[in-house]
Amino acid sequence: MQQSGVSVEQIIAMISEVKEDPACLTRLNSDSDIIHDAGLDSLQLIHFILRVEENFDVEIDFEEFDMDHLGSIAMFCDFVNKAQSDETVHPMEA
Amino acid sequence: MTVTILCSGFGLGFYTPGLLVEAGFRRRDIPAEVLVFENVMNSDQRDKVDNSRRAYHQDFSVALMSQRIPQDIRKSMDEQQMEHLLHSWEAEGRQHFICLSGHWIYLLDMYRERVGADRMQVDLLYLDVSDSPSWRNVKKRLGQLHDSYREVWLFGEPQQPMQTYIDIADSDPVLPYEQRERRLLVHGGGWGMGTYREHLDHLEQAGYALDIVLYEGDELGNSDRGQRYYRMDPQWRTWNRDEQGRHTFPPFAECTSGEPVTYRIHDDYHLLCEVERRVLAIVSKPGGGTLADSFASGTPVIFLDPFGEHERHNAEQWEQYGYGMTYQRWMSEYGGDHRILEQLHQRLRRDRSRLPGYVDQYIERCTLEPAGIRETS
Repeated sequence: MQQSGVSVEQIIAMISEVKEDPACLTRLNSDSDIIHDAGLDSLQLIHFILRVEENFDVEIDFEEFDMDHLGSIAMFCDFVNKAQSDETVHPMEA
Repeated sequence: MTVTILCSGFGLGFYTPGLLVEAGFRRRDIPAEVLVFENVMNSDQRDKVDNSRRAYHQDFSVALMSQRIPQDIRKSMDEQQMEHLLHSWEAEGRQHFICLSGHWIYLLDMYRERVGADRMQVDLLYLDVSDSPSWRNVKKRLGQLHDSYREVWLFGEPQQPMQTYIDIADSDPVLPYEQRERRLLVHGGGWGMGTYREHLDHLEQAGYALDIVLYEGDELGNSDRGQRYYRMDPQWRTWNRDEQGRHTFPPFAECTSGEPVTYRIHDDYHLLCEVERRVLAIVSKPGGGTLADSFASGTPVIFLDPFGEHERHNAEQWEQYGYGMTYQRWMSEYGGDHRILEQLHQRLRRDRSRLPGYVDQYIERCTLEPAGIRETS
């Protein structure tokens, strides 16, 4: 479990693991679209999100989440980092 | 005039209740046709449903995540199949639709644009207490649907209890509790999802013999405590039709060690219903199909972990009606005792006797005489 910010490299590594395709590590970059460029199908997307939530200790709120957030790895990182920082303030609000 | 029943094969809860409704119309000599959404999907997308089914059976967390991620089903639809269907409906003048899955709304909207709203009578038949993902996704994009279509919340609404139920052939009279065996039916819904396997030992230790539904490659277990095992034909798919071009209830069989398995299909109901009628309770995740069967058979449900928010609401509603309770509560407050189950059964039996069946109610609402539906064609 990691608490610090999520990097593009970490996300690419996770996509590579889910797809079981090491070529993703060199083929993908911060501008890559997670659905179209990385080529995650619906089941792989589920496994990918599960890994993101588990590894970064965050729960993605799909009421806030838009599929446009998958338009680039950089945008997805921003969304997860924001979600992570939002979660850390919840205990203080409660 | 044919009543068109729009199901989804994604889960049995959006499929078998539709077939039960179709069987009800057939018994009353009214033509009805079941259509399964996967048959208007691109074939490669449909093939992926199989992979998902296996993944959800193997890992409940994957199944739960699938509920959370929003989907736009339009991307999976086959335009040629859609056009073919719309054209055939229009040529035939189809007017009566009963829709069990939100995936169909885009197609119904297209048909409405072609023929006009006054030429359609559509029931949205909700098989959950709150919106399941297919309804949630479509309402997120199109807004509420009650202005365009008639909504029927089978299990009631916050201010309105159940008004009807899906009748199942041969389930009258409900088998009284004293004539039932001290057995429980344990399953994980149509796809074998959830935590049901974790509770088998505990239930046996509590003194119950179990009827257990196996899935695909699951092995038969022991039979030393009166366990019985059942299985749906692993080759069967909801979107396949039989030789007559009809969708059928799942081929189903009891499996006995060392004996060949002979799958059978009943015309009027899923053969699992015959097990449901004679047990003390169903132990399952709170799926809509299970609730519908529970009411028709007068058999209470002991709820395991829900598959998403809508199933959690199902369990809460059933518990509020006094037709079921959570496994945890049954064990902690009642020690797994069978007498509380009988109380739940009596409530089900009493309330069931007061409600009209959905098909009868539909016929009465659309026309006074069943033949009248045909005359309007």
